[in-house]
Amino acid sequence: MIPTTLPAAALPRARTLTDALLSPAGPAPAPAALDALRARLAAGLAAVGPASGPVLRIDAFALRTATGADAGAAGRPFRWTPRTARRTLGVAAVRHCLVGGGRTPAEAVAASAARLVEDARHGLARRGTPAAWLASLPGGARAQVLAEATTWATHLYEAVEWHRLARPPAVGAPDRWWDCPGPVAVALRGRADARFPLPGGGEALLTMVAGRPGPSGRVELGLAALVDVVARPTARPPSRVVGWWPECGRALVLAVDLGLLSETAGSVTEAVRRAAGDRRPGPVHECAIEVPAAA
Amino acid sequence: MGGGPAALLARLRGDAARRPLVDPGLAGGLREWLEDGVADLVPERAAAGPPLIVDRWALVPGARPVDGPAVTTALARDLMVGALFRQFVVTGRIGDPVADALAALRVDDRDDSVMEFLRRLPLDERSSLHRQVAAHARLLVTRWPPVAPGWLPKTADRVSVPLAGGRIVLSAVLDLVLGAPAGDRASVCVVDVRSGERRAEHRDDLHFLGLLETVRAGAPPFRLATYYTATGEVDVEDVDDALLSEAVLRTIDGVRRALPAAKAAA
Repeated sequence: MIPTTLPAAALPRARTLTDALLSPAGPAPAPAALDALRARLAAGLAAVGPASGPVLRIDAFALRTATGADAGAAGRPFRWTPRTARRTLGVAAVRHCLVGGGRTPAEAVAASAARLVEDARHGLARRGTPAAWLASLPGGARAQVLAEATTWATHLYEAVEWHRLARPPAVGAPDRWWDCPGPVAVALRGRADARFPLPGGGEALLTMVAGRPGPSGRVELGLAALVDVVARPTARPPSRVVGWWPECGRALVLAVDLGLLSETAGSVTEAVRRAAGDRRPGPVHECAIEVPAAA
Repeated sequence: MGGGPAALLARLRGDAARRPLVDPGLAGGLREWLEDGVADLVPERAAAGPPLIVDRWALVPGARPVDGPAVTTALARDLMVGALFRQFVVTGRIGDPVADALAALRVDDRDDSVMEFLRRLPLDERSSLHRQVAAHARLLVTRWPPVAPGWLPKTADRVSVPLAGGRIVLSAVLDLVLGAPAGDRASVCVVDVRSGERRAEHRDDLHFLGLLETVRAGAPPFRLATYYTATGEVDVEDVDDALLSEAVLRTIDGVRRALPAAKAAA
């Protein structure tokens, strides 16, 4: 388990977490160092990743399972369940709560679900989407989906003192992707549940994580920042990433610096090496990402 | 003990002005006490293996913590009624109770073993179970009060408290949590839902849930409640330091018992 950073005695927790999110940004890593990091990551992935075949998608879940944590879930095929669908409904609900109208998470989840079901009834939902799945469920099953999403959304809603934000956050913004350049079939996915603009520029990213912080907790959080850095080379990188584990009441606040980015890049490369398996084996040392001297 | 939905709700929410102030050092102190109590039980070198999960079943003397509860008719009824409770809290209605409960179990892949158990159940036992579930549902819709969305209800809220560097994890699912997180005053009521008969050890279970919520949230709930769906009755207890201290001692004792059992089963 990794150490976490919010003082346990500080109440309400949302105040402490909001303080951590909104504190002034530190200096961003030097552009030249970020360029070097991008080049090293691309070279590392080219050395270990599959040159052809289906694109290997690396997300936070892949980083977790690559460390052996949650290994049982790694081989399981994806299916929609209340747990896998709760974030989709939950972020939509929190967005609705924040735009006004005095809605609570429970009311907003119900409204979001009703809209999805309505879309599906009008033929607007593609097969395999949460909307199509939700519309296909009998009442008892759909109620469990609403209940699970309400609990998830309420945790996110309670995590932050939203009224303190001078500028609106982007809650549940689309995931960001980076396709590794060159002849290597690897794509990275960065996900944050909310993005908070910071005074003076830059962003803080908040991700709510199930369970408790595991050995890969730092790099799971770092992945969203790394994808921002490699996919949007001209934009300012996020200043910090914050992980919030409501099940155990712990938070991890990480400054986005070259140390975190390099550690994450190393874990990504290692996860790709493992996932690529015997398609393209390579020794571990080839994919090590070093912190540039400029750091 | 009885009364209508409004009386039940009043017992769960209490008088907001009389809720206790939060001692900001309490949750940290309880965590340290738990940490000290289990520190010598798991050597640091054992960190590589999976953690020992200690839930309410593991704390029962004689339990085999790695197995979890065996699937029985009582457990199946508990899960079916629990799903209906969750449905009623969130949507305010129940259709065909058996159909709704079975659909709820079917949609969650963690309940596959229960579905398999139900498929193999002899017809007369299955019919009896369905009758019981329908009876609980009838009582639920007449006795359980509507919960205002503004009380931020959370159902099936999972709590885990890692100890000893994550090598031991105290774990629970809170059937219902009412109230916004605490600031200066305790503000949360935790409800445990039971479909079986009232038993003395339910209080110990409830105190365990209260302890975990305290450590997780940084503040204790002001009240704990057990709701019995067979009768519509509710038992409530206010949370104080003595209750939480007893829960710490019982939890440490339970972990001490559970650990050799888990090793033996490994």
